[in-house]
Amino acid sequence: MDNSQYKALFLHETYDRLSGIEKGLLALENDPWNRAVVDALFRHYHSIKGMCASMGYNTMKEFTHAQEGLLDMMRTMKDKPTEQMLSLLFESFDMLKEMVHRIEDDRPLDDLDTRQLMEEIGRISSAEKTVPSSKPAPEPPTLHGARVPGIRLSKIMKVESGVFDNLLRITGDLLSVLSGLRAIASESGSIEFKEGVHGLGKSVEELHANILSARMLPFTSVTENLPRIVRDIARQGRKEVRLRVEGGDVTLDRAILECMTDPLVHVIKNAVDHGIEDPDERKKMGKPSCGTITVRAYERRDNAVIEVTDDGRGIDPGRLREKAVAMGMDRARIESMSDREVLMLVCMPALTLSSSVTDVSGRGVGMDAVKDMVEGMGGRLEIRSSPGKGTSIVMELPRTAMIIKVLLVAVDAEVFSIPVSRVEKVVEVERDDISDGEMDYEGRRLYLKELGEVMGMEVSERPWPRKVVVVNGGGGPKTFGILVDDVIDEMDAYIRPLPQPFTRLWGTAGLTVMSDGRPVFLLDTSQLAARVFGRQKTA
Amino acid sequence: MPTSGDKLLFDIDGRRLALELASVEGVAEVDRVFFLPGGRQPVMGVITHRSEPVMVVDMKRVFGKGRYRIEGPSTVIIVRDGEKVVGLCVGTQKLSFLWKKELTDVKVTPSTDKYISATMALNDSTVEVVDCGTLYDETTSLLSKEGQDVKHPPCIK
Repeated sequence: MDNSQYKALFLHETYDRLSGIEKGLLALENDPWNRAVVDALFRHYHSIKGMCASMGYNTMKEFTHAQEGLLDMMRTMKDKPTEQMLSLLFESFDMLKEMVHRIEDDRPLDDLDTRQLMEEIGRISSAEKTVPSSKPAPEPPTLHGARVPGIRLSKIMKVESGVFDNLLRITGDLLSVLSGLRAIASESGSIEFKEGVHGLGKSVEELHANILSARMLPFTSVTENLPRIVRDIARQGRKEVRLRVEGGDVTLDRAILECMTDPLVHVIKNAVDHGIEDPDERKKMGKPSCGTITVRAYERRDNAVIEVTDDGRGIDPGRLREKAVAMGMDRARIESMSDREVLMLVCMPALTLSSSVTDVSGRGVGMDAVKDMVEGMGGRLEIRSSPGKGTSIVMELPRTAMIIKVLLVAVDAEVFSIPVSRVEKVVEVERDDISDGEMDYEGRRLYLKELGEVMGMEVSERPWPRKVVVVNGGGGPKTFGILVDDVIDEMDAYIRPLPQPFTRLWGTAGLTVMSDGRPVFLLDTSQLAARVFGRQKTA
Repeated sequence: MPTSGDKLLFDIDGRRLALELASVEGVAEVDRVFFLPGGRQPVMGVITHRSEPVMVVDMKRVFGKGRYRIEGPSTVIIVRDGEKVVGLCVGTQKLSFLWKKELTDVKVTPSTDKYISATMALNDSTVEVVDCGTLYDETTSLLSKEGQDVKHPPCIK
């Protein structure tokens, strides 16, 4: 198993533990009776051993195991630890540190001779069990000896995540400035200036890539606590549930993962509490008494998809329709909706199919918040379900936050941005190409919407020809066209989360500030798609 | 009723209005205010101040008659109340100040008017102190979160 991607985490955690061991050994030397220190040391060695086992560093695992054994014995001794024991632990500690340095430098551990230290530890441990050892303590380390510990700074640094947020923001500002400089350079006759801008661009883009890479965390970072959550809710509801996590090595930006923690827990709570049936019911349906919830992450183009699937009772679209009508929604409209569209109604606030409200959840409770959160990050939510078979909540998210490629489009004097990942094509059109709000596009009819109109601008008749940005709104056949005056540019934009009072403004997913101070809103293509295909009106 | 500090003064259609100077974060001169999706009158749009977006409210709409049209450099006073930041467009007028020492012996009366926290009787006029917190809450509640109703005829035939 390739664990190289976790090496940095291993080193980070191990250096922390080593630091604790060193302090502990020094404290123990001054106060050998202090059992709390011995206990703390034992925990440090035990953690390092576990991490070594996970990473496959067997030599180090066995060596740590021996020291852990010695500490364990010291915990049960009636007498205080001898000087000999402490010296041996110090010597072993130096060896342990050397092992970690070698791992950090990708050097082998095989040629490190741990045999003598291991034998000594074994001898002391067994002697202690019989009679107190009379062997003198090993010579303390000297300047001339081979194992005088030196000072070495770790290559792994602990950095507050806010530092990376700032770095990314600054890089975003640099990219905005760069975009302006590139526009000037394209008009400039100076070769030196053009080359200078080109060189600056390469450096800024490299900086951006490095910062993005530093911000990435594996999906497992948010799944570690899930087994416990599932266990607790299952026990509370007297259910049997097994959790499977797949794709833990898929990486996402820390900010995205941070925002995903609550929605993920919401969805899983719903799945356990209302998706999975109780064991008797499952048996009657011919299912295994233990339900399964699978949390799966995988990559799709530039995005990451997180799917939570349960093999429970599923959602009945018929009941959902009845519930929606009972809540006052137009029956004709509800009847005309596909099952897939109806399932999305669970994201309406207060719509739940659960007959009982529990402490944990109700199917639908919190799903509006989940949808808002996912869409607020520029992602989209989809629900698939088969009655009696189970439900999948599919959350597609951008893997990296904040700086994305956008297309800048103009309507009248206003500028908006659209994620390039959502743009299929840009087509120039004349007025005659459009009839009944549609145009021919690659052999089929394409729905069109005036961007100015859909955003609520007061826009007068525009000059032709104009541009149609063909957008994929996601979730099946959701391709549509946005009619704009012009496409200005494509750029890397630093997208700020919308601050108060702009959060959740309809049709927007973020904001970028151009080098000249102009605020440009990032369009939420999922919401535009909903408007174009009429879903917004039904919800 | 925080009326003891220095004030920033401006006029709207004959009304003399004041802002607590301590709440003024800056005064910007702008050539245009950008479109704010979901914004409805008296929200004029959005500008940036120190690289942050700021919603701009038309003070003529709130306290006077008609509305400002930005056809040249216009003044936007940016006020902050904790996390709440709003820009108040006061047109092209010059601003003046009312210093704390001028307010001694001035009669201050609490006001029940919308967006006004108090009135102060000066020698020759009445100054109304703007309640920026309420103004912010009321105007931001107008921002549409559900999309605009289409009020304008579609351009697509």
